[in-house]
Amino acid sequence: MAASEPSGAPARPIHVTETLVADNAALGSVPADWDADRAVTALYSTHYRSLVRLAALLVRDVATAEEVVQDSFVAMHGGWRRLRDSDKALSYLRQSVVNRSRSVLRHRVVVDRNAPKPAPDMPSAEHGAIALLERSAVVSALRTLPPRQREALVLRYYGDMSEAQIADIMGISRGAVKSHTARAMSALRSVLEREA
Amino acid sequence: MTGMTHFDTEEILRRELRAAAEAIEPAADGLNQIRARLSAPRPLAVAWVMVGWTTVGQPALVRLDQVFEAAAEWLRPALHPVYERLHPALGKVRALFTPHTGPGDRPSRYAWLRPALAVAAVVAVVVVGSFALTGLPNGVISQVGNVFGNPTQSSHNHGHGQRENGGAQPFPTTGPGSRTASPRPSASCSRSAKSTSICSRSAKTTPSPSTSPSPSPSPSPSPSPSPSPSPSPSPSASPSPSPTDSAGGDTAPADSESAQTASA
Repeated sequence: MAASEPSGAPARPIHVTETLVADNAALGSVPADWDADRAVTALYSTHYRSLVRLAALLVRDVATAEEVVQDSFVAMHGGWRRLRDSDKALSYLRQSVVNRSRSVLRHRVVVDRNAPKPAPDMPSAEHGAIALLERSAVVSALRTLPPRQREALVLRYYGDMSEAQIADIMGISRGAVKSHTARAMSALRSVLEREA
Repeated sequence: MTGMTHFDTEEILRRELRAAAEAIEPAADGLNQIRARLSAPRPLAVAWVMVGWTTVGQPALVRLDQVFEAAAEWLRPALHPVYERLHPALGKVRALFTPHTGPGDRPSRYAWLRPALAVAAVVAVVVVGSFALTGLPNGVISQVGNVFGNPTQSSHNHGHGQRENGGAQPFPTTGPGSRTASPRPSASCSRSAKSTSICSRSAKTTPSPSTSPSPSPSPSPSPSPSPSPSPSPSPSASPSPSPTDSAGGDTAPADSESAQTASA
């Protein structure tokens, strides 16, 4: 992210929640009268990494996560005339990332269902990336949850988002967010206790 | 981890998620890839349409208004005498089909034609629509073929034998009655030797195992000449398609062939 990033955006370690929570201050730096290219560049420098991480936690694959986020940026570029606001743009990006991750998972289910079973000693192409993500028991337990519950947990505990934000991003009600989170936590706790 | 509280679980989850996320490092050329996607050329057709619209369509639309106005100004003096000449005739024709031309006028003799034409137009639209949507023509053709074409078909097929793929099938099983009856194979096919040979022939022509001959006299309303298992192209012995075929739209060729045979 060093060479290709916009000038003036030095490579720096970004804390995970830095961009997902305390974004509003950074977002204020994107004026509404910017054109789409400049807005994409500015939002990329501040949010690309955190969005890729968010997507990677959802789709469990870094390369796919990058594609998802890049697609979201392209879509945001196309809709910049409608957005014209950095707050809306970031919300759009998050929502787009979550929706596209959901689509990827759905597509993956269909592909897995129809794909021939590989030989037992042949690891799949995504095996390395997924193994990297799931070294932790918690993260691997997260994989066993239903997609909506996993989304709610990742947005809540990785993104530190409020229930209202999660509801907005996931396109569901706040009550549904509470329900998904509570069920997911209960399932996760039982899994962790069983493993312990 | 036994006896974990909700708070513990939350903390553990938060910590683990952050640790897992920090291990993820996206590729450095993300912005280049986004730019590459943004500058990717559109499909040729879309590009042509966009170019055509921006270079031709929009200016033409802007100027079209002026063109219309100019044309109207130019045509008005030329068309005015024609209009003056045709106006009385048009008024008379209109009065013919108007129920009441005025408060004191007598209704025209042909005033009833107007609502009648409207009703006829609606009926025609409904009939044409139902024909187009429900595939009724096939059913009608097959029924007509059944009614008028069976004797001819019988003699014809006695002469030439069985046509391939149910071509001589007099009951193409697309009609509503035969649709319900065709899936049930009757025993007449398997009992008689003749019909058995026909059945085996039909099995050769249609390799599907579900192609069960349906020699039963179908309860279709058509006047079937004989439900006998003779090799005549009666409904019984014809190599009818499988029940699934008869329900679907695959029988259209058979229908058309039967219609052709009927017409012949």
